[in-house]
Amino acid sequence: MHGAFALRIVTAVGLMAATGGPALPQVPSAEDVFARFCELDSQGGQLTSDGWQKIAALFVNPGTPRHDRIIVTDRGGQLRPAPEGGKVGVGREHLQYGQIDLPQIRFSAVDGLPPGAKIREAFMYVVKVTGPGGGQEWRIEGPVPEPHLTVDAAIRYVNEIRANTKDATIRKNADRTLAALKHIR
Amino acid sequence: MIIAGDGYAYVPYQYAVCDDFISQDFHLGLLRVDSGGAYNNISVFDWSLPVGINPCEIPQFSEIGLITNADQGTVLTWETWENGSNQEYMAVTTGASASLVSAPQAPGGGQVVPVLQAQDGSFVGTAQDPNTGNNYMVAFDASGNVRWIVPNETPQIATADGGVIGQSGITYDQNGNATGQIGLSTQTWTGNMYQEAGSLEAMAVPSVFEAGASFWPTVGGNPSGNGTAFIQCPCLLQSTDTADPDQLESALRDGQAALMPQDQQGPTYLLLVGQPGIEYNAGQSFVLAAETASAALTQSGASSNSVPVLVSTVSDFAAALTGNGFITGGVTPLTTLGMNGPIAGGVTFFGHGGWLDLGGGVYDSALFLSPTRGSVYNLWIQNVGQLSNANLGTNATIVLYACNAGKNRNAGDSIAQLVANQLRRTVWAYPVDMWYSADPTPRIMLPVGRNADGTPIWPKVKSTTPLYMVPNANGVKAIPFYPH
Repeated sequence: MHGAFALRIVTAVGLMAATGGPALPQVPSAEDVFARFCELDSQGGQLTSDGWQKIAALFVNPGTPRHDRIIVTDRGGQLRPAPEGGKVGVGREHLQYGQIDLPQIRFSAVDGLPPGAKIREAFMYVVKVTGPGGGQEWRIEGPVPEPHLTVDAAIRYVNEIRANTKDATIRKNADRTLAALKHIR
Repeated sequence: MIIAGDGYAYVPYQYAVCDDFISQDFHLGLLRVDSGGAYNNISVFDWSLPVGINPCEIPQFSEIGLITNADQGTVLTWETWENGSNQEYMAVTTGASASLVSAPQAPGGGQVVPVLQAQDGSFVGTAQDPNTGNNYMVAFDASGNVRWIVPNETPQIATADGGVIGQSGITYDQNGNATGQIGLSTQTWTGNMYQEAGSLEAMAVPSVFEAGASFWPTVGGNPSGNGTAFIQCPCLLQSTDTADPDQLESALRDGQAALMPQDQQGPTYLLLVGQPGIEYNAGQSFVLAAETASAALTQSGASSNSVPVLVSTVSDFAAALTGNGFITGGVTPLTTLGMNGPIAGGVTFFGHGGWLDLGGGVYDSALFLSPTRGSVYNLWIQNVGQLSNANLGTNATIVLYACNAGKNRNAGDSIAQLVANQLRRTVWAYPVDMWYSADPTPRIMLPVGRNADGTPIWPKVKSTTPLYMVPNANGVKAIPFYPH
């Protein structure tokens, strides 16, 4: 225990010596904030209260959780951000495989798009706001878009719903949805 | 024969063995063949009959109803004559093995022949009552359980909500309840409907084809009806050597000093490429495809730029149309494959395509010129008005090689239609996804092998010419979009 404590002190002194002062926590960039949202969203963050709190904290005006449907995608990626005045335009692109209607847990194509179509969601901005500590932070202009989950995250979510529902129709829908998702995976 | 969603060709066969005068042995099998010709011989069912008067007469076999089971294998149904009556059978294949399940029971005991796979993985087929001759549409699952039956109907299209559209034009929900009626005509890969006259003027919208319903959503598996299940967006399954967009841009701009040849005896062509992307990095594929087209055009006596013009923004695209001389080239087939093969227009674009999600269920067809965020990096309905036909000859045409650039979505125009309207010239594009191959034949991309866990291995893209952007559908032709 003492040895570990001593090592931490040495490490801290070494860092101060190397940088000429105490290390300050780095403010996440606009791109980092958007990447954090994309990661949380793709893993189903919007579908749990804890995850929603984390996502809402990244937005200026997050609105309320939207639980009408889940869009199922590949992991996708972020577009190259584009500064516009004091804002930073951000966006993501992914392959959309389909949607899961909630709460029925029914899987279908997204609004007539062919499954696997490449989609760009490119109309979000990240803006600077004053954070709780008085410092400037980047936040995404709201509201939070619909949940976009990877296939694996969607499978986990549907499995959880299936295990906890007593509704036979939802269980049946969940079975079909799981079968479809496993085909995609 | 069909090509199922798992990429294998399946060929059913039946034969009888006449080796004694006591009984005759019958066998039903299924050949499962991969794209390299390797095959598995799947034994499905064997049965025997006492010999008749002529012990070695050629027997009558029933039709084999064969359909893909998503990308997991196949489902097949058949009928035998045993013990003085017809017997119905059904089997499900997975990998190189077959399992017998209970056959779906139709009125009168006739064979149920699967026609479509529904959105939820169940099947919809046809059956005829052998006693009365009445026809039925029968929905059943992979265990052979019948879900519902509709008399005097034949399934045509599975819909994304789990229902089906019958030959009568009546729409049914997932429980077989009639929900409406549409005027059903022949539907094409674009999703548009055509009347029997077949002319483009007879096109009717909106379309009803639900490509996402299943691997086999329509009669014959796809709009061509050629017995092939199809996968989606194959180019994105292929691996390429990634390209640095900045380096690529620099190299292309350096090479554009000798853009358009001065010898303009023949028609002139302009080749454009979009950026390769970041997440979906196409590497050098767009450039190689453009270089391949340029070489073919030069051979045919036409003039084209050997170094494609990189268009990263809509402004670039607009400037390329007006800043590279007078473009006169029409669509000329580059090979004897005709319009089934690669084609080049006066202006030919190679790049990414898809839809912009505007929220609220609104999607606009677009060319994705750059992986940068912002509307100026996507050619779409809001900025297509920037394009000018000032330097396009009256017979010049445009060709767009990009995923789904020619796919109308419900009542929304494809980017090909929008460009045609703006430039007042015919635009050719494909209504399906694209992939990359040294063989230009339009066809579905098939796996080149399997990993140990059974997942498919997709063909790797070459880094040399010739390279073509190939539509992911067997024999699909480029669609002409006329200005209106």
